Parts: sequence; structure tokens; C-alpha cells
Amino acid sequence: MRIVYSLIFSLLFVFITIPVCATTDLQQLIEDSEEGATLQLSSGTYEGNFSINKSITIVADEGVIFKPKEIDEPIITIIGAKDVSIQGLQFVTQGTGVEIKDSEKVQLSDITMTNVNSGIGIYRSKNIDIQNISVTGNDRHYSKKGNGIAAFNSANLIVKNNKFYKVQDGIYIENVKGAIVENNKVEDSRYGTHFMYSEDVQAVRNEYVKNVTGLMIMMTKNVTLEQNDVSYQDGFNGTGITLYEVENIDIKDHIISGNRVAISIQKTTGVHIINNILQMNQTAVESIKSDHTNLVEKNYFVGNLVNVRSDMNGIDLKENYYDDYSGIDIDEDGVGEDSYVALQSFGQWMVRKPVYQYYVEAPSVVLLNEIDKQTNKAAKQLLVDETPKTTFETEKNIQFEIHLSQLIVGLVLVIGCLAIWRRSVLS
Amino acid sequence: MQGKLIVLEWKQMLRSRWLQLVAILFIFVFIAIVMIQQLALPDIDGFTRQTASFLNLLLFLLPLFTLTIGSMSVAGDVESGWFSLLKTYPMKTFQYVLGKFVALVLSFIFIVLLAFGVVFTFGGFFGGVHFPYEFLIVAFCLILIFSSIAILLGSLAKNRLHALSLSLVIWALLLLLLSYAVMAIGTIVPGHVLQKLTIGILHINPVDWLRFGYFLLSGQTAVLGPTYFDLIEFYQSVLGKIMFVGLTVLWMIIPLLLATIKLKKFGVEK
Repeated sequence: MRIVYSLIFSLLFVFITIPVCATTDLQQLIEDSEEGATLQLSSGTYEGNFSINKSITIVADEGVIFKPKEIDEPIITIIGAKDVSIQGLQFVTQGTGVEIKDSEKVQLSDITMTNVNSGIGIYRSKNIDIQNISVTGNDRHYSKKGNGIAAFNSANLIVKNNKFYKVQDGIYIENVKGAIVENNKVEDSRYGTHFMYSEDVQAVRNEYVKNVTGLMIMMTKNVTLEQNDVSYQDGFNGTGITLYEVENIDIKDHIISGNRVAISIQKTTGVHIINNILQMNQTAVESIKSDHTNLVEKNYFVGNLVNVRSDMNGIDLKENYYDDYSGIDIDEDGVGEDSYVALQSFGQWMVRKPVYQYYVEAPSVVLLNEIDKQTNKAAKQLLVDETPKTTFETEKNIQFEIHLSQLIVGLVLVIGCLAIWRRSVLS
Repeated sequence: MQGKLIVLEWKQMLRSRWLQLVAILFIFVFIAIVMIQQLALPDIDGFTRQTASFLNLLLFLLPLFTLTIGSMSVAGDVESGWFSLLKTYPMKTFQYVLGKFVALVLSFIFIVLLAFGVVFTFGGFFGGVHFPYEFLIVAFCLILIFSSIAILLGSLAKNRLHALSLSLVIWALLLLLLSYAVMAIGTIVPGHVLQKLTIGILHINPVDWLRFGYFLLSGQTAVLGPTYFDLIEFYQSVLGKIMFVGLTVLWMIIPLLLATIKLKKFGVEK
């Protein structure tokens, strides 16, 4: 009978929420709590470096702020734990927010971190779910700050609906098997999402703006990138998506705009780039030391300075739309009768010697490209799309809409100039 | 006297059929690019194909028109004896050169403003056009520098035809040939040599100089690539900015001074 009472008491304790105020010794309370307990933190500032090594749920009211006692230590360390959930905290530290080590089934959500060096570190853990986190770093150089989320040697990671600003890499994933990165936003950082030595990973519906590189994928296998918005990675080394020694990757349904290079493929095999809009980039697709297992198919190239450039290995092009294609579609099947040749002497030079980039779209190069277009029509070997599309469904329509201030300025200038001219000519 | 000469020259320029045709051509091309590109391409900031088209339009056409009209105007004065007549008036040669220069600059500023006016009027009916102010500055600098060079070429030419051919050669040299020469050399020399050569040419070619100026003004220097980081960093410093303005002003003044010397000698030779 005693055992039954004891069991019932223990179960009640697990399901009862324990209210906590800021004056409580939180670390002691965590240690004293039974496995599976829930702590409800009331608003206030909690100072310390807390360690969790058991199943626990921490739920915070609005206005719960965590500060570290030791700035070099993370505010919360979850180590050797299973089934941990932390929700609704605000972290103020110049160090690290949370570290998760050797743990399973950890869920972090609705956490805000400001002015931190790094947000969340994950080591040798699995089934980690991180959602609705906001991490704002500091103004120091990328090399002197940490990542928004960094995961090492782990498995089954979900990173959803988070925001990262001014960090080194928004999401850094190294040696992880199975990661879903979805609906996050990374801005003003080095890399938006960085996959290294990982397998079976996907990045879907994320937004990467004004980083050095939007998606950096290195030495990783089986990657899916889908519906990400990758824009304005236009710095000196800016790239929308960089692939280095990647095996098997699908890049589909993206809008990639205003980057220095939209997609850079280096030493990579099994790339399938399909149904993306690559618009207004300086170079849309760059391929270096890659092989013919790579295919660029059914994409839209609009307003890029250079559509495709490569070394002598080239890259396969099929059924893409190119806004500078000058062929015609006689049988109206949506495919041009002539091949499209993306090969430009200048584009190739830029690959070989980056110093040539100074002349990008210079008057002399524009003329050279026009000559190339005429002379390359017969080319059949490198960067040739034999079935170029001739229709672009999302083409912008010209609409009649009055812009009053510009109209007035325009009319004043025109009438003024014509009046001056008339007066000068007649007098 | 100086003011009267400027007004007289300006009126003559505006009455010139050649200048009127140039104005029509410039406006036509300008509108074509705006309407075809700006209204058909997505609105994306940065150095895109449409900004490159605008920049190249200015770099191609303004030097060509300024050089040909300006140099032929001066050569025509010398050829027709108008310059010799003017020398009988109490007016220094530099005043004549300055008068020509100001009239030429005003005429082309007039054309550019008219072109912008027409573009804005058209754009005003289609939701407005995005037109960065940097283009206006580059256009004015192009007019100032190439008007100055045009007057020098006019003073060097023996007659109007000679002035025209000189202008075309210089235009092709600055716009195309120098770049092609550097690019060709680049295929046989190492990258660091090509980089130094490019930087050298940049300082002695006003077209490259103003193109570089556009990137500096618009904050899009990254377009030029990381190889030129040090150069860009220098020209983004205060000293660099002063040097940039100084060199631009020198490009305006030196050809005028050389033209003055040449025209003074012309008087002596006569």
C-alpha cells in the first residue's frame, strides 16, 4: 500500500506545475525536482549559470530575463538529459545562451537572445527541436563571434521559425544526420545556413538577406533546398548558394536575387537545379571543377549580368528561360528552335582570373559579349541549352499608374528646356 | 565680353542641327532603355543589368557626342577664321577657351536634363521609374571632362574633318581599345600584374575613372571584386575622396590649359 501511495505522490509531483519567482534558487530547485517536473517562472531577472541533467519543462511568464553569473559559461547547459523543454525566456549575455550536450528530445521555443556572442550550441545530441528563437549578435567581425545555432555530431535536428541577426553563421550544422531547417530568417551574418560533413539535410522556405553567403554547403550528402528566398548577398565574396564537394543536392523553387553570384558550384556532383528564378544577379550560375552529373533545368534567368560561367568542364543546361535569348519559337511549343549558348569569353576569363572582374559589364565587355553572341551561335560544346524556353510566366506587366511627383518633375524639366531652347533659337 | 561669348556660343550650339539630332537620339535611346528594361525587369537594388545599361548608355553616348560636337566647333572656328576675328577683340585666348567650354557644358547639361525630363514624364504615367542620383553626377562629370578634352582636340585639329576623326579615335581608344589591350595583355601576364595594369589604366582613362567613380558613389564597389579591395578602401577614405575629386578636376582643367597653349601658338604661327 505504501508503495502505491508513494507512486501516486510521485506521479502527482510530475504533473503539477511548480511556481517559481526570481528570488528562488533556481539551480537548487532544478536539482530537487523529480524527473518530468514543470517549473513555471514568474517575471523577473534570474542570474546564474544553470545546469539541467534530467527531464524537465521550464515555462516562463512574460518578462523573464536570464543573466549569467560567469560570462564565459553558457546561461543554461543541458547535459545528459532526455525530454527537456524550455519556453519563453529572454537571455541577456555577451557569452553563450544555451548548450545542449549528450542529450535527447530537447525542445527550445520562444526564446530571445540579444547582444550575445553565440546563441545555442548542440553537441552529440539527437531529436532536438528549436523553434521561434531570436538571436541578435554584436557588431564585431564575423571571426570574433559565434553562431546563432551550432550543432555538432548530432542527429535529427529541427530548426524552425527562428530569426538570426549579426552572428557568424545563422545556423551551423556539422556532422549531423538528418536536419530540417525551415522558415528561418538570417540577416547581416557571415553564412545564413552552413552545412558541413552532414547527411540527409534540408533547408526549406528560409530567408537569407545581406549575408556573405546565404547557404554554404560543404562536403555534405543528400541535400534538399526548396523555396528559399536568397537575396542581396552582394559583398566582395557574396554568394547566394555555395556548394563545395557536395553529393546529391536538389535546389528547387527558389527566388535568388541581387547576389554577386547566385549559385556557385565547386567540385560537386549530382546537383539538380530546377524551377528557380535567378534574377538580377551579377553571375547567376558559376561552375568550377564539377562534372556532368550536374543539371540546370527549367529555371528562369532574368536580368543577370552573366547567366552561366564555368571552367572547361561546363555544366548541363536544359529547358531554361533566358531573357537574352534571341531565337524564335516557330512551332509555338514554348521551346526555341535555336540553341542558347551561355558561353561568354569574358565570363570564362573571370573564372580563370578573378582580376578580370573589374571589367564586368564595362562598355568594352558589353560589345565583346554582343560579338560573342554572334560568333557562338554555332558552338555546341560548352554551356549550351539545346531546348531553351521562350516563355516566362511571371513576367512583369506594364501598368498604367500615375506617379504624380515624378510626372510633375518631368513636365517641369521638359517644358522648361523647350522654353529655353525656343527662346534661344528665336532670339 | 566673356558672358556675351558664352551666351553667343550657347545659342549657336542650340541652333545647331547636329546638336538637335543628338538630343533626339539621346532621348530616344534613354526612353527605350527605361521603358524596355525598367518596366520589364524586377525592381532589384544593386548593380544589375538595368543599372549597367544606364551607365553604359552614358559612357558610350555622352563622350562620343561631346567630343565630336565640341572639337568640330573649335576646329570650325579656326577653319572659318572666326577665331582669328575674335582675337582682334580685347579677349584672352583662355577666355575664348573657357567660353567654348562653358557653352558646350551648358548645351549638354541641357540635353541630359531634357532627356531626364522626358523619361520622368513617361515614367510618371507608369508608376514611376527608379533613377539613382549617381547617374546624374556621372553624367555631369562626363560632360565636364569630355567637353574639356573636346576643346583640346579641336585646337589640335587642322580642320573639322580632322577634328571628327581625332574625336572618334580618342573615343574608341578610351571606351574600347585600352580595355581590350589590358584584357589581352592579361591573358599572358600573371593576375597581380594585370591588377596593377588595370589600376594604372584606371587613373589615365577618364571613362574608367568615372565608371569607378559611379561604383564608389553608389556603394557598389564589391562589383569590382575582392582583388581591388585595397584600392577601393583607399578611395573610400577621406584622403582617397580628396584625391578622387582632385584628379577629376585635373581631368577638366589640364586639357583646357593645353588647348589655350596650343591656340596661343596658333596665333603666333599665324
